[in-house]
Amino acid sequence: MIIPGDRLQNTTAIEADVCIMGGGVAGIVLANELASSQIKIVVIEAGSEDYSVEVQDAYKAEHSTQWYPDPLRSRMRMLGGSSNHWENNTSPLDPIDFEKRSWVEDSGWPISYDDLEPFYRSAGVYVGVADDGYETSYWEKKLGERDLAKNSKVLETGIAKASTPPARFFAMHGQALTTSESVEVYTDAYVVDVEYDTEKQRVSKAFFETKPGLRHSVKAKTFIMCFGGIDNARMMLAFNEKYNDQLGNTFDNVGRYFMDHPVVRAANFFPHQRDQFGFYQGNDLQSRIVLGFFKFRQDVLIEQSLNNLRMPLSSASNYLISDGISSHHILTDSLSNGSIPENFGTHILNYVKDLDMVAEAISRKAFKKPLFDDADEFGGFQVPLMMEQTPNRESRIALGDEKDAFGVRRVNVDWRLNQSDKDQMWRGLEMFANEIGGLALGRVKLLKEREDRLWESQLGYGHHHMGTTRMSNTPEKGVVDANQKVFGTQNFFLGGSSVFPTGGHVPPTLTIVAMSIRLAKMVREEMKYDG
Amino acid sequence: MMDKSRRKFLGRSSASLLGVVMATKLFPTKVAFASSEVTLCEAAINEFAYVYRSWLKTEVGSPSLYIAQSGLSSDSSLKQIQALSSTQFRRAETHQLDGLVLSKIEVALMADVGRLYC
Repeated sequence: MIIPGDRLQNTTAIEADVCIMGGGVAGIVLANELASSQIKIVVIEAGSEDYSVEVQDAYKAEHSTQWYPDPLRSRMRMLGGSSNHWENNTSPLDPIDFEKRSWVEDSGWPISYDDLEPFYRSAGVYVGVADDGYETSYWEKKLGERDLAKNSKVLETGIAKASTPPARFFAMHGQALTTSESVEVYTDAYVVDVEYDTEKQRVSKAFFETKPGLRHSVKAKTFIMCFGGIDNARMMLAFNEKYNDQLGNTFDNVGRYFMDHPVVRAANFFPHQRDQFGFYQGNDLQSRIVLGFFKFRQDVLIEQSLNNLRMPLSSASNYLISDGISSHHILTDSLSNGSIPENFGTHILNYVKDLDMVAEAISRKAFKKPLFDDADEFGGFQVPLMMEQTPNRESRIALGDEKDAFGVRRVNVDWRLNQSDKDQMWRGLEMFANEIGGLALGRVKLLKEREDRLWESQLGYGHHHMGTTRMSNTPEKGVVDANQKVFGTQNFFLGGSSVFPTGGHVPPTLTIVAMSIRLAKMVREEMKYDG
Repeated sequence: MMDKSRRKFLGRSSASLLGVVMATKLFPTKVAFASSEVTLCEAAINEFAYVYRSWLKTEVGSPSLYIAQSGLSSDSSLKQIQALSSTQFRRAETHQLDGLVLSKIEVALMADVGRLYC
């Protein structure tokens, strides 16, 4: 049952067994999984079924690192959360992602891949890509395409799946909530505070407002907060100001270790035979798309002390892959600032050699029409690689001074990427280029002359906010335990990718869903045990 | 004047690099005149010359010496060269031409052709 916030004209006291804060991907999966257990569930969602500019405004950061996208644009504050605009690119994490790796500082999950593996198949159904898994040999056979890394001792082929259209979680899974008698979903209901019993170490109430100042309460046995990778940290920081860091922040870990997946178009790939690469292009399969991507074998990652890295291939036209256009931009920017860029000679050479595509770009911009017929023909593959970021304590979400309409402080987003991660990416790409040459699949061009722009204006992001309330065996190194329970509490859990200690190279949603199914199972068992 | 792009050359040569190299190495003049796309050949020749200059900047010894030391001769087949090239990639014996990662033997062969035009 959905209860719009504006129906609550007076302060209301609600009681439930489980209070789920946030009606995004994790919240919806948790509610679905728990709904079958005859447990009374209350879901509190700041938005509603429809997008609202006013509601969305609460995501606006006070300050963000230059070039880093404001959460206002990357999150969605409505039922279904950011699944309302995601591309639904799914893969499971690799077993190595869960392991403590000596070369990746602060790596290591308190759970293993095997702990999560039983939930990945059900997660596949939730995200609309079915439960037939991500086994490369299975998909090679099913699609009748060639795994080009099969005989490689360096690379292997990973599988990504997406549903078409992308799974919008409330549209797909909301009905179970709206029709269930045991679930109440409060919309336009903004959680602003919790009540924490310091002696019993229990959260006893959550408070939400349906308009500024009109406050309601939910009393529950268990609370699960699923506000996403940024707002989980934001609200935890806000709660901890009141409760002297007793909610998982004794060791100042809340908001720290903020990670994303930098997407770097740092290489172009010129294949020998384009038609060999069918496996690596989108294979349309009845409302699903399946595609392969290159990644390093796990033994190679260990041997070479590399972070995990994904190298997908994206078909690009002559125009898109042009070195000349890129050099044109670099030269224009630098010269207009009165400076001379690094590799000046190379840029001039690119410009002159690729003058046709530079002219094409100018024509498109100035006259809004193409100049050359072949500009849109296949020129090669771009490699928009997605890299694993090393956890960094100084990369963080903090509270700013400005407040939103409900009086909650906005965030400051200080996202940082280690220089060693950048260096490692180039090392990984060189290994990739060497192996592609060794397999006689083509040649790879590393776009090092664009280095400055690659890490600034041209850097893409997965918008995968992770790590800010990380999972750990001990409160010294994390905010939640292996069961996602906040350290220092008996009944307060966090859901979503904020609990990921490391992020691998995969979009997090499939794992968020798998972990939410696992969390629901644990909560059910815990409630049974508590009577 | 619009030159043909390096990107196109590299794209094409990466698809059939060794074939181009071998043909051009053995019959540079014929290749140039056999093609109706004379501008492409001019561009290719410029590229080979560029490769030669790049070789001189970073490698010790001439490309022809390197080729000889690699055990190749004018009797070597394309397959032998390709096998050597693959082996070199796997040993990271590569040379980057403005970021394009090529095996050293590929670059040496192109540079050896380029030497004729410098």
